Amino acid sequence: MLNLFFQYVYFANYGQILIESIACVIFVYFLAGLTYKYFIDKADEVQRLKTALSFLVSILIAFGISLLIMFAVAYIGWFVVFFQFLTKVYFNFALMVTILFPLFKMFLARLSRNESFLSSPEDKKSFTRRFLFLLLLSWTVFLMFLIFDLFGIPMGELIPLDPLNPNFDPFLLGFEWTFVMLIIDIIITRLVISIISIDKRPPKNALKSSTLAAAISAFVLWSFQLLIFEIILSRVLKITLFEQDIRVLAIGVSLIYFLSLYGFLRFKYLPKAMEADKGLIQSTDALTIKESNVILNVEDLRTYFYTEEGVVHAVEGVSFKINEGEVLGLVGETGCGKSVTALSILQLIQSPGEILSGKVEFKGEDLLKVSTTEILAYRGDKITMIFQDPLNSLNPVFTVGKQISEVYLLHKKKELLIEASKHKNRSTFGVAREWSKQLLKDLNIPSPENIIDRYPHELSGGMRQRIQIAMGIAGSPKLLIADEPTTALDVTVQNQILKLLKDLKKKYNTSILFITHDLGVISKMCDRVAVMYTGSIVEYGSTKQIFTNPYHPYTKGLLSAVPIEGEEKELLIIPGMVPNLIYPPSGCRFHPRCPKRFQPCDSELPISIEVAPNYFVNCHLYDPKFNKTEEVSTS
Amino acid sequence: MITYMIKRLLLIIPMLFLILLVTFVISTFMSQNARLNQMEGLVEWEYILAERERMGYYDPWYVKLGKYFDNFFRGDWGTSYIVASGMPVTTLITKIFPKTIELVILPIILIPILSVKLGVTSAKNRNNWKDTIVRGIMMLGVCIPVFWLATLVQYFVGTSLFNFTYGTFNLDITSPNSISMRYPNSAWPFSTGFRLIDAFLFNDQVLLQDTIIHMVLPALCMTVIALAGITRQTRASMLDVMQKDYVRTARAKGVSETDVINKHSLRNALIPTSTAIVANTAALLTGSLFVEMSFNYTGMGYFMVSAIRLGDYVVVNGILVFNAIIILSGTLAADILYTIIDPRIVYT
Amino acid sequence: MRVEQKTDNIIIKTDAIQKKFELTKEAVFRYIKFFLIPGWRDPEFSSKEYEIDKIKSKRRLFRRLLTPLTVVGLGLILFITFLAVYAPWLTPFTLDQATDGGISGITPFLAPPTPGHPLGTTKFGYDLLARVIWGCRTAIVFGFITIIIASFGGIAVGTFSGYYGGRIDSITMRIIDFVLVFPAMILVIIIVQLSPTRNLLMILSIFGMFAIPWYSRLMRSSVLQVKQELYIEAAKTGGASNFKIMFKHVFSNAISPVLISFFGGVGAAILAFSGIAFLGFGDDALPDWGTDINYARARISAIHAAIWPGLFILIAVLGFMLLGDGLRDALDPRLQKKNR
Repeated sequence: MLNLFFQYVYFANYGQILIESIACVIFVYFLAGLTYKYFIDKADEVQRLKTALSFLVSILIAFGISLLIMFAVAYIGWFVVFFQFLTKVYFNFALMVTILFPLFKMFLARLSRNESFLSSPEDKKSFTRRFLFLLLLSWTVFLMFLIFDLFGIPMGELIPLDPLNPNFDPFLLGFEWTFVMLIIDIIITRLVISIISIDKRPPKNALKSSTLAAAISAFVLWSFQLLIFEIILSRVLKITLFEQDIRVLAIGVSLIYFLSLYGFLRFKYLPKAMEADKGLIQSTDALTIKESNVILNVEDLRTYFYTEEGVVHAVEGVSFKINEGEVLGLVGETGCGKSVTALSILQLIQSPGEILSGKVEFKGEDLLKVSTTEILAYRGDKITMIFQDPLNSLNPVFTVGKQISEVYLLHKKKELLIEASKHKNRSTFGVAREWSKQLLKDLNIPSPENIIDRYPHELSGGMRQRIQIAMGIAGSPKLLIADEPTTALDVTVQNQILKLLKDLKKKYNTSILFITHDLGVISKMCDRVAVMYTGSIVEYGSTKQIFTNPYHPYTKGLLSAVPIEGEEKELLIIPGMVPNLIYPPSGCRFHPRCPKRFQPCDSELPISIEVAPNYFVNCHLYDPKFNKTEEVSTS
Repeated sequence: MITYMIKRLLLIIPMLFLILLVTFVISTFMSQNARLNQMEGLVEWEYILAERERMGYYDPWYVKLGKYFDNFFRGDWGTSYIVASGMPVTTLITKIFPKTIELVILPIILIPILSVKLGVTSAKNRNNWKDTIVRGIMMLGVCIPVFWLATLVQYFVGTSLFNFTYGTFNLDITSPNSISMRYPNSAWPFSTGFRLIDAFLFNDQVLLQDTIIHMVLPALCMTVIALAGITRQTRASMLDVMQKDYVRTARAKGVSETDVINKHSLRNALIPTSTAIVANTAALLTGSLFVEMSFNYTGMGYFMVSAIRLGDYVVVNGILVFNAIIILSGTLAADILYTIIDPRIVYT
Repeated sequence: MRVEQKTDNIIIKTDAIQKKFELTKEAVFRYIKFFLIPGWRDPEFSSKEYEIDKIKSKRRLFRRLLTPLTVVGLGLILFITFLAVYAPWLTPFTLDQATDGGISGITPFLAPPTPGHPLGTTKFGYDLLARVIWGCRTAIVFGFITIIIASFGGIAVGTFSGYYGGRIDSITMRIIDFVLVFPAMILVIIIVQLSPTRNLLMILSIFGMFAIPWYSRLMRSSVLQVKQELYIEAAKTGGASNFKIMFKHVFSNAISPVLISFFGGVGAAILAFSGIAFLGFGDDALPDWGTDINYARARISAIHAAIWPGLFILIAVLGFMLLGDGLRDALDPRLQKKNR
């Protein structure tokens, strides 16, 4: 009895079913992918990954189940004739889509339970609508072919089973040619759009939706034509009007496609985009930031780098405050962690680095707890950063004007739209360009109309740094972080840039966090100074006090190494070298080189002590606990 | 820029001279007056001597060389006598080169799309599982022998599972029921040589479908091999670019992560990749030997190997010179493309 | 007082340098642990501050070299070499029996696997497993000889051309560009076909000659880079002759790109040689993998005879390419991650 069962197993063509299933899976992946990718653009990185994963899992499960069903159907088809009609690839495809849909919906429902993705009812409706459309399409196709088989309409094949006696069918071939023609048309539209200048292009989402809609409508219309003329008239009613001509097909399909593309763009999707823009104009600002005097409040920031050699303690417990309209200078030797502090504020630290603990409060909002998409609204808009080497910090393949306009386009969308709607045929890109030109004029850059179309390598060093500063203040930030902006420039240009920064600070009331290792620049620019050594702040107070009356031995050493014109004095050096950040010295980091070290310095970390109003020193010398033996000396 | 292009074009001419010199040397080894030797025994000896005199067999070597050069530049590249008897080499090349070009169309379309996607995925998640998979595929693609892959593909996809056809389809010596016999293209008023375009223009859907089916497998084999090298290049340049400072500036401006990669980094990373793709196309066109031999696909590589095997030196010379011209123009196009794409370069 | 303290420091440091390394088991283990375990720090080494930096770069190199993929490549190469070296002991058929022995008539052609022939037989009745194992020898020998010829030639040409510069350089580069225009494979096939006897050494040397341009380009570019370093100028002012500078200073520093692409080249040579054998221009007397594929591919029912040789080609080339890639990742200074 079992023998009989297995005897019939060999008669079905399982290999062919397997190959067809694999082809179906690929097809379903692309088609169903088109339906859900629309929603992904708004989602976060993690959500995107989860959605993609759930899609993959549900497709694999659907593949497995439909494969089993098809095998079963193929086997039963030897006993029940009707099931032979079901072994076609169309049934496979329809089955796969049907199983995929509820699975995917279930996974997505689980995903969006505690997150805001796909939770709005409009999104859900749109998603369901698209999937239902796909479902309807696949079952219609299957029913159509089933009816053909049941009624005995002669049908050839698309891929010949016998290479020497192929029996190609113009009806099926017509589908293949339509598909290829539509792909060619989509590529042509993409090429044409990329050639048109950026002002006159339709917005991306509108273009995507309308290409999809136009392709689907062209495909459906042409298959309808195929159905009527090839099947019904030719094969059923035996009235042959004309032969299916591939040239007519190419021209016809392209015509329908481009016409419907234009129609959808003009009458459906562009107006939708305009509505969205209007909605944006009338919306209120999402981020309500409290007005306070303290712009930035960094408390106990810790950033470590987990490298192969060990853990680099780059920033170890840094705390400082910046008030409104104030310039804070961050001084220190190379490699003491100044740049890392600045990057940690904006969450720009990449692996192997990690911000371990601490609080960075920008106007009351803790930036370290903000998600990766929300911090994009801060970067470039409320807090900006300019870097040391302007040649390498500017993108070499974009013109300077484009790079400045990008800041406006990212963060000032609403204002751009308001401005653009006032004039008839101006787009946001044109307005952004005008504003960039105005900004360059404000920065006293000569002939901005020429400069705006230059590439960064065609400009001089000072000009590049000015462009970077322009990028930095385009968004009218509250805090500008300048990471050694004048180190790569010569002295005359340096003075110009510093003067420029001072003027901008007065004009826009921006606070600046100025990182440098040049004490002269500090004395010119900054109101308050924080001296850093090996990852922690050793002295923090106003410039005047630090320069006239330093407390910490390191600061004293730094200042006594600066030659003063007119004075003949011995330049003292600080003996030793900067310690290794992987194995820092125990206790106070400076103790191996400190001339004033005493008993607790190599075992206990110094705490921050306020020796004068708003003036902090991290040294055991001024700690009342250990003050018994040493006396405060200022030499 | 124009002067640079003209300079490069002028440089091609001495290269061509040297190439022709080499082929001349080769042909003197191979020729031994083969056609006349064929006729030996059939005609009288004096006739053969007279023919040799007429053909220039007894001329000194510089006269021979001069005549050879002269012929080449005038367009007379000789007449094949074994591989396609009686057909002038130029006509033969116009017949077989379009078929090789058709084979290369699918790789040219697929390679930029796939290599960018794979390279970006691999560079974005460095040392992740995705990176390992992509690098593994790339490694296999470089190391796998094309002819072995072709045999495997023919076996598994072509016959045992699907009966997907894979064999030759245009030689007239195939079975009388094959496509080429049932739809003879002598009815066409003109022919561009490209089977796809011809079948499209004359509404021969059966021929078109047949061509596509026979072309898919060889084109896929070529894509796999060429993709590996280009993806490596894309990955390396993406890794390079993502370490640069301007990517950090873009992030500091508030650009979203996808835009940082797709807009800012890709534009820089694709500069060396696009030149590599252009140069690779030239290599594909000339190096399609193995794929064509495995699939019996009568393109330029197939004829080249047959001509070498059978000793038809005229065809060998002609195809060699043609290949050299393709490679030269490919490198020239790659250089020009480089100067166009990269705004930092005025002219090299 | 300060001066004496300074000299004391110096004395302590030189003492630390001069302390020799004793070859005890414990010391060896400590060194191994230092290389392999990340972040491990030996208390005795802590005192030799500057020596650690020297060793650290070696440790980084070593650990970067031993990525999993490279180890896999090394394993594959060792497997193939093992098969090649111990071939006579691994298969009962000798070289003659596998290629020319002509046991035709006794053993069936293109037979499926049987206990006597674990992988089946080829078209002419030779045992497939024997041919595959003996083929390892041909592959490795051909690959290495070709690339050794190519790299020696390339190094010589590149060093001379890069070091002297000027007219010699531009003429050499023109010649190299010219040789690169030709598709090497086709020319090799032509020359092989033209020669009256298929002498193997000749084929290999021609192959090697066509591969010289790649190596000479690599060598030349790195020589050009090294030439600009300061120590070359110092050696010149010190009075070293041209030859000495070239071969002592420039050579050892500029050779790393060529070393890196050595193994990749061997892989490519194996692939190219199998390709030529596949087209039918190889040596019939040798058990090469490519010829096997050529013989077996017509008969679809006996496809196993074509699958196994190709698999071995894949293994061999994969091993060499992985090793070459691993070397390049470890030695290439551009890919080093920036340490903060």
